[in-house]
Order: sequence, then structure tokens, then C-alpha cells
Amino acid sequence: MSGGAGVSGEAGSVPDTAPVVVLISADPRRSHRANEAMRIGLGVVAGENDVTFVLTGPGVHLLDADTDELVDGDDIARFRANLRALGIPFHVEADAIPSDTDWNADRHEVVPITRERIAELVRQGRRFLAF
Amino acid sequence: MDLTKKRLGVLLSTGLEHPNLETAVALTQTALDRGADVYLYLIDEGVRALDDPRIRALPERGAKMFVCAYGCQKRGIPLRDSDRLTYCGLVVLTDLLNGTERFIALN
Repeated sequence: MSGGAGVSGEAGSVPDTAPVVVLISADPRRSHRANEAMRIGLGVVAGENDVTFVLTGPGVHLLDADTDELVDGDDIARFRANLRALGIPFHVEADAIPSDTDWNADRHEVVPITRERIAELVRQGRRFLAF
Repeated sequence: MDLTKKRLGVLLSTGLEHPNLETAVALTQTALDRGADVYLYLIDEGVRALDDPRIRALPERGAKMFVCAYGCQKRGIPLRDSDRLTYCGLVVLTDLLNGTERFIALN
């Protein structure tokens, strides 16, 4: 997704405790925006908010082993490590998971999900940021 | 619709060439006209929107404008007009996510 608008509804339509959903479909092999999305999500986590990270399409390459091949790869490795230390999983579109054996070599907690489940997560979120 | 005292947050992360710019400007102006408090946060390539005169004029119309200091630093954009806007970090973005009735992310 090269661009997208996330419109988060009127307060009260979802519980205040509902998570902020950060959906990343930008390709980290081609664009810095996947890393920027993860940085923003991590910043929201730091504010003691529940954040659900969702990787779809080429966004799943944020978990590639060789971060040298990714735009802003050093930052990606650092932010990924921070999220792992905090015990925050990535919800990953199951059909987009690469068959490479070294994908997610760091063993970050991953929750494979369907596109239908992604739609549910977005609906259940209190805020929605799509990159 | 009377939006008096309603708080709208707008995040803009795309640059001058992207149609999101028009959306951000029009949305902010319309919400201000209807009495809403509007908080505009420029991040990533969105910090380049400071070069657009329509964006720069929004604080004079009452919008509260925040700009990602990291994004400016990364792009070598000098900090300017700091009397009319606020350079800040993700803590402020989090406050906007939590403190506005409606939040729109233009990415």
C-alpha cells in the first residue's frame, strides 16, 4: 500500500482500552516507510498504549534475517529487538509469509492470521495507522 | 454539523507531491470553520509540507501544528517558525491519539 487513510472513529465507538492498530504493507526492501511505521508504533507503545502490529503483503519482510538488504536496516533491527524485548508480537498475513528458512531468524513472536482476521483487528482497534 | 469543542487529530506523513496534502488542508480548514479544535501532526515526508503556504497558514487560522523534529533532522530541514508551530517527538503524537475525539491518518 503506497498510501492510505486511517480514519479512527468517534470516541465511544470502541472501548478506550482497545488497541491502536499499526498496519504495515510498505515494502522495507524498497521504502523507508515500513521502518518509519514501526518506529511510530514503538513510540505509541512507549506511551503505555496497547498496540497491535499487523504485517501484510511485502511488509512481512520487516522480519527478514538480512537487514542489510532493507532500507534503514540498522534501525529495523533495533526497533524489532525493542519490540521483542517488550513481548509484542507481529500479526502476520499468513499467505504472505516467505518460504525462506531464515525469515524471522530472531524468532520474534509471530501470529499468522488471515485477511479476514486482519479486517476484524482493524475494526476492533481504537485508532488505525496504515502504512 | 457543529463541531465546537470537538478535537480532531490529523496525521500527515506524505510529501508535497501526494494528494494527501490537499486532503489535509481542506479537512483542517473545514473543521476549523465548523468550530473544531484541530491538531495537525507532520511526520516523515509530511514535514516537507511546511513548504506549502496553505499548511503554514493553518496556525493563524487556529490549528495547532506539530512537526516531527526527528523527521526534520533526518532530512536536513531547519527548524523555523517555532513561534507558530511545535517541533516534537512521538510522545505528542501519542497524546493526540489518546486525546482527540476523532483521528485521521493520511499516509
